[in-house]
Amino acid sequence: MNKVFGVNKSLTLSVLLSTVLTLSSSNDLADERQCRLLSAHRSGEHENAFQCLEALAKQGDVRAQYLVSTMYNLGHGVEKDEHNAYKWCKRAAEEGLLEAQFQLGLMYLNGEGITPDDDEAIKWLWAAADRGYPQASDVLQFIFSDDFGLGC
Amino acid sequence: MEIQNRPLFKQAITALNALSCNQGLEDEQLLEQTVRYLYSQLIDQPLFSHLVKESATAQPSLTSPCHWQTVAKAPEMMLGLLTVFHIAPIPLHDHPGSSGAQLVLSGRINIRQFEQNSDIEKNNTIVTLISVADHDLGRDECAAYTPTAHNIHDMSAITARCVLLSLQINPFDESMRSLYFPLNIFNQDRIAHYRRLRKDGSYCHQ
Repeated sequence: MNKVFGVNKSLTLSVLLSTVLTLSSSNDLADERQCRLLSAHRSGEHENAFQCLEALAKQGDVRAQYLVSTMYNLGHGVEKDEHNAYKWCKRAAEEGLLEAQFQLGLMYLNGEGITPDDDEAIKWLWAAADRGYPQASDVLQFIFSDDFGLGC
Repeated sequence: MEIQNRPLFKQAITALNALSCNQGLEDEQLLEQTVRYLYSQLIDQPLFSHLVKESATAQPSLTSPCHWQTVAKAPEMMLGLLTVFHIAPIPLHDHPGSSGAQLVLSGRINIRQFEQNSDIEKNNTIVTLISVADHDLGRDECAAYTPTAHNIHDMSAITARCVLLSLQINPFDESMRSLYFPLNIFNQDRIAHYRRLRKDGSYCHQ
């Protein structure tokens, strides 16, 4: 693992992230885990965090796949790359991660890393809305309605 | 029901037109004073009271999370009653090029206001927003925004419904509006990354 993560503090981070992500790969990040990832981010360990998450993502951790997608979006710990962001988000969405399904729908609408595709967008947004993700319903209203949020 | 032709609303529109020529319109306090002035002119009008009652019993629709009734409308401005429902928070959105003020008439509401961190990102799909205010507002309290300050906000009714008198000056083109959704990663306390969804779909990908 040292070869992969380079330095000792990265090993600690990798164990932490691994534990954190493995324990709840099917749920949204808990506050505690968010705090730990935030701590890694603040201490400037983007590259180490990315490497840890990418390793987990390749092992099939759905939550890590989504986080890797987001890091590609932001250029945190890796060069910004919309297409890789799309690919990892799609993998997580296909595995059923609700947040990834929603964000993938937005990527298709925006044409981020992929040619815009309204049909695919609506498919993923419906999937998320159907499973109770309220923001997905907001987006469907937003794109289909001319009076969405009028006056607000 | 739009009642812009009634004398009172003509008077209100005249007053607003005069204000819209004022360079001080960027001032959020002036916006708040304007919406309060308009309310003071409307409050005793039976038709306005009727519209307020209707707004207080409105239901969410299939096409919008909130309910809107136009009270007065002119090319440069729009005044109306906005009902926000506890069960349907209004997601984070912007008002490009527009100023506005919203006065609570009944109920309570939480309004969180944001500003974009960098003009460089203004056409991007991923943007960084700074949280600049978080209000819990009750009756007679007001929030305002300008094209450059507090222009991005979300709204969540604390009570079952919240009715607001909403003033928009230089009403924006709805097709230019964007929604913003947090990426939920590495969000710092006041600054966070959001994915933008623009109604017209035009972006500069970087």
